Amino acid sequence: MVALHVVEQHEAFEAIDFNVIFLLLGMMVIANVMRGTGVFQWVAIRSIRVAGGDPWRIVLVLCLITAVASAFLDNVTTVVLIGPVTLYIAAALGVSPLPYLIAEILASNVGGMATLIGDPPNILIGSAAGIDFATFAWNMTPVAVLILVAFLALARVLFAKDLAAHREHMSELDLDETGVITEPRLMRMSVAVLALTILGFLFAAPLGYEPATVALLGASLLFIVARIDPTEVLERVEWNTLLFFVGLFMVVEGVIKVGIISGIADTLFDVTGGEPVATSVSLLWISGVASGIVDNIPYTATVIPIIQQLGERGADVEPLWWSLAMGADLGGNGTIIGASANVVIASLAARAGHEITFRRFLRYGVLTVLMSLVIATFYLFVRYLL
Amino acid sequence: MEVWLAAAIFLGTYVLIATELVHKTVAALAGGGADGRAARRGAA
Repeated sequence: MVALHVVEQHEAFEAIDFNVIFLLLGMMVIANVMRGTGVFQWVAIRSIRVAGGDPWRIVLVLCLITAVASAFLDNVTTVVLIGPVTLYIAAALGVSPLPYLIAEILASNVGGMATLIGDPPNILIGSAAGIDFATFAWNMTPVAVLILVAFLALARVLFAKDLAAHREHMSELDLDETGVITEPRLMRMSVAVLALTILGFLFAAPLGYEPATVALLGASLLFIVARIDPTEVLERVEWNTLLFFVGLFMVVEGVIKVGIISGIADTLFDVTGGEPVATSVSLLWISGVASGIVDNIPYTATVIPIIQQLGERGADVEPLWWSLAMGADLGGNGTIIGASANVVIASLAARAGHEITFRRFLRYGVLTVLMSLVIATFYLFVRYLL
Repeated sequence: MEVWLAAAIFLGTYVLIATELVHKTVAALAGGGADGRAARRGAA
């Protein structure tokens, strides 16, 4: 895009959402420090005990933890923390971590839909539409719970074959959490810093801070109080993932700049004629499909001005905001590059020697998105359009 | 012309990512044009 002058270098660089990049970097630092303390192994062993060593129950426990955590943390942060736990569990059981990791990705995107801070598109929408934390949760949490329950039922079927094989081949579980915390002092410090960072996310907006500022403050605080050598921690940061986002933001800026994405959206509204039911439902489904192809953050940033323009022309934009939020968040489950959390988990898995291929993820993602969008359509219709 | 060029680069990048012919980070960075040529031109 830059070399062929579709966008100039300064435009490409300005398109990079550094709030996303530095939010990821800060949380990766905190997660990497925590990883070395043994706390993830402790959580993993406790989870296996709760699940009784049964593969399906492990999926269930991990999905519930991921979905709930994704609602209160950014879903990328959640998977950065839960991903290593899952790798540890799978290694302890002697099975492939892929079904567990894929289920977590799907659960994180569903759970992230519930709150304003749960998924980056929500932050963009809340800011543009002036929606506060409580209003967002009041509108999105019910549908997130409905879809999560339906997803867990679907996951039981989708992963049945993989989990049956695991049941036959998994190692005997003889795990004891005693002594797995190798650095208790650092563990206490990093957990305290994580808790402060989460509190920071909750109060960031009213205080005028961006999530990236909070994450970088948390990482800096941890470096200072724990007196850790940054070189070692920074070497373990997923730079591949961060640079992937950098490239993606620039590629998408090219198609935004020449008007392809807004042209698609304009056509949508021409076709529906601005009629509320048709426009809202179309926006939900188009956002759901588009967010699987384009990362849902730049997609959302492109559609927001179109909704604002419609509002200026007198259209009722409330259902459109919720359509966009549901479509963009849920659509992120469509492909392995559909949402930031997907890419982060894929990188973690690849680093551990387990590749989540585009095609493999698609098998689970497409079915989950279809089911989710059907439920979201029903919710949208009953709550906002009747 | 610019529209078709942008569409071609965009689709090409996503095909590379989807087919996994090259690493997805390389595909995204190449698509964005954040290569040595762009950096050198910016520095100049």
